Amino acid sequence: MMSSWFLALVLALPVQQSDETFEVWLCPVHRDEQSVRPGTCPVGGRDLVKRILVSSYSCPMHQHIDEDHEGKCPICNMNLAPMTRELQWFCPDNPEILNAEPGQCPDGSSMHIRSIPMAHGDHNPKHGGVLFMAPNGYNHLEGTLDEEGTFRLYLYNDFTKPIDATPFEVRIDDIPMKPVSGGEYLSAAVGAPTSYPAEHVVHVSFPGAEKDESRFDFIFAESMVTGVGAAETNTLILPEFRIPETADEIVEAIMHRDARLKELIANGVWPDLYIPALEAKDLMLALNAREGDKVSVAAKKLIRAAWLLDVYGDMGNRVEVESAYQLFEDSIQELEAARAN
Amino acid sequence: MQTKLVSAVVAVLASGAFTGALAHEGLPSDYNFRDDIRPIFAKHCAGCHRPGGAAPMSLLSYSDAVPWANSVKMQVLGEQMPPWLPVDGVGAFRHTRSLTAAEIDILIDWTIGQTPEGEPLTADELRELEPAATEWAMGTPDLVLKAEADVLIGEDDYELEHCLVLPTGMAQARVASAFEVKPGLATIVRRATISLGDSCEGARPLATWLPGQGSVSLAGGSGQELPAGASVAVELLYVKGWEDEGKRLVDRSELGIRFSDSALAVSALRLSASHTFSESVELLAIYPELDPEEPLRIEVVRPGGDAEAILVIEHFSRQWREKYVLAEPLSLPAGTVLRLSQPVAWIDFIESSATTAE
Repeated sequence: MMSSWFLALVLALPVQQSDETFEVWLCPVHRDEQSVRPGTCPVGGRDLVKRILVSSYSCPMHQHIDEDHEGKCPICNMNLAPMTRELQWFCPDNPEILNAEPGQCPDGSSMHIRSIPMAHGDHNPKHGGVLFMAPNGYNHLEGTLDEEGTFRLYLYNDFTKPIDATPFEVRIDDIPMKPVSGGEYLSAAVGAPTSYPAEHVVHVSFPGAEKDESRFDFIFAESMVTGVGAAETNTLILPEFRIPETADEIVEAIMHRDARLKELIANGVWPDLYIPALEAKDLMLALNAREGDKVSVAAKKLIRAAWLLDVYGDMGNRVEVESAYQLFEDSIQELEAARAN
Repeated sequence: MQTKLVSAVVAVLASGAFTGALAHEGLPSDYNFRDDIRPIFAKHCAGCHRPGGAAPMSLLSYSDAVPWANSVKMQVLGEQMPPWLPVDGVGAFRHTRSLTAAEIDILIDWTIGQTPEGEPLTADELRELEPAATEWAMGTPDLVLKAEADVLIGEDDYELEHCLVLPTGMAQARVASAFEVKPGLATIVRRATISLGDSCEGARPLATWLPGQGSVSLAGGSGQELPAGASVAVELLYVKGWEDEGKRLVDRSELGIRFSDSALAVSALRLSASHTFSESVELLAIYPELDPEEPLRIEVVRPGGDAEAILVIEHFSRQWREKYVLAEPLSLPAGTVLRLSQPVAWIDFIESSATTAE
């Protein structure tokens, strides 16, 4: 982790400090441990250090590229993707002097500012595939599928830097995956897609994981199967929506979100589940406030289901997503029954 | 603990993930610990999750609670915490520990949204974090029963049930309107089942007590009659947290009883399968002896009426077995049938004629 961090430091370019920054307190060594206030690191007990984070756009393949707007990578022409980076102040003539806040260099000049990648600041696919976060909170993994039916799995660390895939025991649809190119990725022949979306279930044993295996459901639309180009990048902001005036309109809006969830789940678009799920949640809370105990049982189920869809959507686990959606469906039925009485 | 924190961080920093959508998770929650989270913890969790309490961690200060944010998230989403077995929407009971929809949302939003602290707690608020009070919640009991010897919880005991038989020494029958357990070692006493007689097996349950419940009483100004010379059996469940693992511990818990000359003595029945009431009754409490493998459904069928569920438990947990005291007495006319999906349950009730006479 540290080597990646310092590599990024070397590559970092000067940036302007954005208004869209926020502070976190990180462990000096275990940098994926964080807090929003000063304290001590739960691993090792050292004092947390303050860091200032900023949202920016960078190239999935060239992380030193750092822009404050969408665009193309000047090196490979890939679409720039949103990332979270860390701001750092330094002295050009004294590279060992680093600061998390503005300051002065020994020669009296103002410190320069630059941004560096940080853990979990980049969740963008590097090979045009589907990228998930692992339940262990450290690894990321990306799967690609080509027209000949070769599935490749790339393993990354918490900085989304490639790591040796050899120690990972992986099977896809019960076919063991084998390391290729000295562990650059794992590969298996799963058969050319005959229909779309193409679905494959991957089970991964992470080194040192408490749980034996983690499940990931990779689902590829036809446009993703060539394995070239960057994944599509969408809006940065959860779209705003208005809570309707009447209870009937709110219920109708919830049903629209339900239909959207069904569609996303049918197509395996796990990362987008949170949008209709959390909108349905906010709608249900509004309905609960209007109608009280009458819908409270349905409301409790839907709130739980929405957050579970959010959590498991991020991890790409079909089994957990479908279980969460079943709870969502139960809440819809409960709501209809409650309002019918 | 650290792993849980890491996961929380992952959730927080999942912004910009996957298809490029910058998830809501990257934004700080609008809720903060002081104004929004601590009141929920204090209301639903502080019985155990307080300094010196039965749970292995307190949730009442920011620094204590934050490392557990991800654990809180998963426990709440999984309906593991707060522990409350009855299904929502069926029956209304005292000491209910379930969260409202809004409370669930606030907690999860905060755990995912960078766990803001808000204004630090004041000195007065911090004083509330002192270990659980050693005074009786019911005031000074009319009778305090205490074992003659300590209960030993050995080094190798992680979880232990122990039955204390406590003679009351009462010269005449009296009606007990409230019971309370004062743990000798509050960090490990997880439950007490108070029964009438000199055995904890199959005895008539008078009350159950869980940490944080304080004084336990029935609804409707009623109570449990203790005959002259009666003994009370108290089954204590001890569970060690990790800080106590491997330790040899001793406990000398006390049982406090408050009597009332005006309280109506309840009747108790041990039911199997179904029961038809020949008289009108006011149902007060239910104590199911649950089969852990089967869901429980208890319903009443009033004459000419449909079946109405009054208690449903889908997932049993032995640790949280308790007597369910109805929030208000449930009137059941003569001829009402009470049906059980499982073989055995105790009920407390009063014949309606008794309440009318009063």
